[in-house]
Amino acid sequence: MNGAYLDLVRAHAPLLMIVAPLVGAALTLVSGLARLSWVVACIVGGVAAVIGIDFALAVFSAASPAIAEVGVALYVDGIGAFAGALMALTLTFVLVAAGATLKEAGASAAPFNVALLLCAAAGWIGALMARDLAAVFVAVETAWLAAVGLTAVNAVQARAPLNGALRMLSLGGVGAALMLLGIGLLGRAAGSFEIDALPLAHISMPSVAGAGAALVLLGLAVKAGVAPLHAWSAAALGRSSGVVSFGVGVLAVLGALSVMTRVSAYTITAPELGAAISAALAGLGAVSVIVGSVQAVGSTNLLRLAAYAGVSQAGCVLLSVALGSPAGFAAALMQLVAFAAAGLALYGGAAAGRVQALDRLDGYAQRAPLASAAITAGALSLMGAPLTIGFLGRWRLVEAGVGAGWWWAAGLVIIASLSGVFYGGRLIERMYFRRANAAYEGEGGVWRAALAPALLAAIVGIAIGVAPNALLRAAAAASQLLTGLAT
Amino acid sequence: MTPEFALYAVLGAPVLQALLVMLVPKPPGLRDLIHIGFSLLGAIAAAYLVSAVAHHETARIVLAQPLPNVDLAFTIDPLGAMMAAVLNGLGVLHAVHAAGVARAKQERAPARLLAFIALAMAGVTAVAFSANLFSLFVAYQALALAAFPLVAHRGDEEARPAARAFLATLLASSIGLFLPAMIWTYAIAGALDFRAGGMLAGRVDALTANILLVLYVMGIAMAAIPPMHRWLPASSNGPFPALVAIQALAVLPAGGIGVLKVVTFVFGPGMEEAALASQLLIVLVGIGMIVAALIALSKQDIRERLAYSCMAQSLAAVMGALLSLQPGPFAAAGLFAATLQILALACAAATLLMAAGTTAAITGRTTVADYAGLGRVMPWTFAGFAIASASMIGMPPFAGAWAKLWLITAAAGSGLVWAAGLAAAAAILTFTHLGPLAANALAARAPTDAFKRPDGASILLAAPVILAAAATLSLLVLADPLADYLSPIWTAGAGQ
Amino acid sequence: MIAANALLEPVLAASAVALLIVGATGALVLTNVIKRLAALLIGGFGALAALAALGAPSGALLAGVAVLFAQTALGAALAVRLQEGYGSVETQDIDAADLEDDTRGHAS
Repeated sequence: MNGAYLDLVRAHAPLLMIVAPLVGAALTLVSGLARLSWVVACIVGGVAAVIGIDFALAVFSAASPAIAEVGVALYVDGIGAFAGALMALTLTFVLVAAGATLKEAGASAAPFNVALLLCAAAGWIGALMARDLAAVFVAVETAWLAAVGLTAVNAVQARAPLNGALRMLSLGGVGAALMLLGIGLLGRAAGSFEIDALPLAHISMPSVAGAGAALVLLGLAVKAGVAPLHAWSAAALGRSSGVVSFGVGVLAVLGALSVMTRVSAYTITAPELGAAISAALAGLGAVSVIVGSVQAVGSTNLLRLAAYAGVSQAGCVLLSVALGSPAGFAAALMQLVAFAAAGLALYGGAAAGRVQALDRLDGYAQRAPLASAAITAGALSLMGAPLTIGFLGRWRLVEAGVGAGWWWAAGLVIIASLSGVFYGGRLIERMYFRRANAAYEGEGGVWRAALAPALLAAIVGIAIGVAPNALLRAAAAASQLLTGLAT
Repeated sequence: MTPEFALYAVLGAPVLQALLVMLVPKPPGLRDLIHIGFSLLGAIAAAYLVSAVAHHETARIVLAQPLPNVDLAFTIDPLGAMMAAVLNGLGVLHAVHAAGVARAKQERAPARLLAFIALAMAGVTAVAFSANLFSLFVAYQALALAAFPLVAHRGDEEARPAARAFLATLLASSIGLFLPAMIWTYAIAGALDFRAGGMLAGRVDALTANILLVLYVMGIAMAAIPPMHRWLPASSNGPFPALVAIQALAVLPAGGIGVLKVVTFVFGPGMEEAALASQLLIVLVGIGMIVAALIALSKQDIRERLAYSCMAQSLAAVMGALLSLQPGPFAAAGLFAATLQILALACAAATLLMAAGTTAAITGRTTVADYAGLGRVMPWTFAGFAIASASMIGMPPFAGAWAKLWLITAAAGSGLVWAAGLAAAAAILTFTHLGPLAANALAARAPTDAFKRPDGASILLAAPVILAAAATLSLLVLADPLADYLSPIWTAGAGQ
Repeated sequence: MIAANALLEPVLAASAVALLIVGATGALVLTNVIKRLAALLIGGFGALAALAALGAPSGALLAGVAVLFAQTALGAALAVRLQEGYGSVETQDIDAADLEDDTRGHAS
C-alpha cells in the first residue's frame, strides 16, 4: 500500500514539486500564527526537496535517462531536474534559516513571509519545468512578484527595502514586457511556442528569432541581477532583513540563473541562433564578472558585498552557458550549487548577528563562532580556494573554456578569484583579528538555533569540493540529457 | 611503522598539535609539552621517511579526488623527504624556543601563536611531499592562510595592514599566475602528476615553455622574487616565534621548495626550450639578491635586516634552480646547489632569528646599534649568531659555503659566469650587513645594563640557538652523502 | 483586402513595439512612482499587443494580462507604502533619504 503511494508520488514528482509549495503557501496563510506557519512551511519545503532529489537521482541514474514529459504542460529536461532539486533543497534551508529572523518584520507578517517564499520557489521550479514559453513567463513573473512583495513586506526596521522593491518592480516590469515581446518574436519565427521545439524547428526568420531569444534572456538577466542590469540588488539587499536576503539574494537569483541556463540551452543549440546567443551571453557574463568584482571590492556593507559577489558569480555562470557545450552546461550547474552554498553561508552568517555594515564584523568570531565559520567558508568559496565547491565550479569552467579555445574566459575567472581574495580576506581579517566593537544582536533563545542547520549545510556544501564525484556525475548527466546525447 | 603511516603522521601531527594546543591553552606547561611533543613526533616521522627513501621504499597517499585525473596526493621522494626532515627537525628546536619566548615576553594569545606555527609547519611539510601540481597549489594556499594569523598576531595598527599585504601578495600571485600556469600545464599534459625528467619535456615549444616558467616562478611568491617579495618585509613586524616560522622554517623555504619542484618535475633539468626565460629570471634574481643585501645594510631594526638577508639567500636558491634549466652536464649541479641553499638557509635563518628573539626577550634590544657587546654577556646565544652569520655569508666550513660553491660551479659550468659574479657580489654584501654586526656583538665592550630579567636567558632560549647553529656545521660531513641521496631526482626515469 | 491585411499586421506589431518602448523608457526614466506604474502599464499593453499581432495563442495573452494586473496591484500598494515611509513618491527624494540613512548608519 505504501509502495503504491510512493510510486504515485514518483510518477507525479515534477507536478508535486510545483504544487506542494503552493499548497504550503495557502496553508501558512490560513494558519495565521508566526511559528506554526514556519513549521508548516519547513515541512512542505522538506517534502518538496525530498521529492525533487529522489526524482533527480532517478533521472540521472537510470540506465537510459530520458526527458520526462508530464501531460502537455511540463517538460523536465536534465537542467530542470538538477536545478529543480537544487531549488527545492535551497528553499528548505532558506525556510529553516528564516525561522531565526521571522519576527524582525513583526509576528503578523511572518505567515506572509513564508507564504511568499513558497510562492517564489514554486514559480522558479515551475519555470524550470514548463513546456510552453508563456508558462515559463507566468511562472517567472509569479516568482518575481513574490520576491518584490517579500522585500516590501519586510521594510519595517529600515525603509530602504521599499526603494529596493520599487526598483525591482520597475526593472522587473520592463524585463517582463521585453520578455513577453521576445516570446512573441521567438514563437513566430520558430513556428512554435514550446521550448523543446526550438532546437529542431525550421527557423524562417533567424534575425527575428535571435532578437526574440535575446529579449527573453534580457528579461531573465534583470531578475538574475546580472550586471549592468542589477541596479535593484544593492537597494533591495543592502539594508534588508534576513528573510529578504535569503528569499531574494539566494532564492530569486538562483532561480533566475537556473531558468536562464535552461532557456539558453535550448536557444544555443538551435543552429541558426547559437552563435549570436553565445556571443551575447559571453559579453554579458564578462561584464558581470568585472563589474560585480569591482563593486564587491569597494563595498562597505556586508549584504551589498554578498550581492555584488553574487553578480560576479552570475557572470561566471553565464560564461559557462555561453560555451554551449555539455561541459559548459555541467560547469554552469556546478556553479549554481556553489552560488547557493556561498549565498546561504554569507547571508546566513550576517543574519545571525544582524550584521549589515562591514565594521560590525569586527571580532564577530568571538560573538558568533558558527556564523563566522559560515562566512569564512563562503568567503573561501568565493575566492575559489581549493577543495571548495567554488574552486571546482571555476575549474570546470576554465577546463571547458580552454577546450573551446576561450582563454579569455580563464582570465575572467582569475579576476573573479582575485577580487574574492580581496573582499573575502577583509571579511576574515575583521572577524578573527579585530576586537569586538558591538554586542551580539541576533534573535535570542532557542530560535537562534534555527540558523544552525542552514549554516552547517552551507559549510558542508562548500566542502563538497573535497569529494564531489556524485555531484560531478549528476551535472554531467544533466547536461548530456539536455543536449540530446542521452540514448 | 610503514611509510604510509609515517606520511600520515608527518602531515597530520602538526594539525592535531594545533587543535590540542588551542583546546588546552592552560596550564602553560601542558600546552608547551603538547607543542614540543608533537613537533618531536613529526620530526621522528620525517626522519623515518628519509630512511625509507634511502631503502628505495615508496608511499603515496590520496586525501581527496576533487577532479578526474587530479588527486590531492602526497608521496615520498628524496627531495621532499630531506626537506621535511630538516625543517621538522629544526621545528623541534623552534618549538622549545617559541615556548620560552612566549613565557619570557608574556606574548598575548600564546596558544593561538603556537597553533598557527604548527599549522604553518604542516603546510610546508605538505608542500615538500606534494605529489602533483594541484597538491602543491593546495598546500601553498593552505600555508599562506595558516601563516597569515602569525603576521596579524599582534592585532595592532601596524600588524593589520602588514597581514593584508602578506595575504594579498601571496594569494593574488598564486591565483593570478601560478593557477593559470597550472591550468595551461593540465591542458598540455592532460594530468598534473610530477615526473622525474619533467612532465613538459618534449611537449612544449620554446614560447610556451618560457611563458610558463615566468608564470610559475613569479606565481610562487613565497620564494620572494621581486616584485613579489612585498610580503617578506611586511611580515617582519610579527613576534619572533612567528618570524622564525615565516622566514626560516615554513614560508620562505616553501617558496624555494616549490620552485625547485616545478623546475625539476614540471620542466626537467636541462630543458633547452626554457633557457631564455631562465636566463632573464637569473638576471632578475641576481639583481634582487644584491639589492636585498644592500637594503639589509640600511636597516637598523634587526628584524628588518634579517628579513632582507633571508630574501637574498632565498633568491640564491632560486638562482640554483634556474641554472639547472641551462642545457649541459651541470644541470644537476644547479639542483644540488638549490637544495643545499634551502637547507643552509633554514638552519642559518632559524639560528639568527631565534638568537634575535632570545636577545629581545632578555634584553629588550631590537636595533643593530644596541647589539654591541651583548655577546660578552650572552656568549652562547651570540656564538650561535656568529656561526649562522658565517653560514649566511658563505664562509667555510659552514653550510652556506657548500651551497655557494655549488652555485658558482653550476653557473660557471653552464657558461653563465656573470651569474656566478652576481652570487659572489651578493655574498660580499651579506658580509657587510652581518659580519660587522656579529663581530661587534662579540668584541665590543659589554653593556652594563643588558638584562631586563635578572637571571638572563633560560635554557629554553639558549639551547635551541646553539643546536641550530650546530646544524649549520653538519653539511661539512653530509654534503657527499646528500648528493648520493638526492641523485635520483635529477636522473630521468628514476624516483616518481 | 488581403493586401491591406498583410500590411496591417506589421504596422500593428510596429506600433505595439513603439508603445512598449515608450512605456519601458518611462518606467526607467520617470521620477514619479505613480507615473512609473502608468508607464509600466503602457509598456505591458504594448507587449501584449505585439504578442497578439505576432499570432500568439490566447493563453499567452491571458497570462500576460494576469501578470500585468498583479504587477499594477502590487505597484499601487508599494506606492502607498513609499508615501507612508518617505513622505514622498518622487524617486529623487527617496534616494536622497536613503543616502542620508546610510550616512547616519555609518556615523552611529
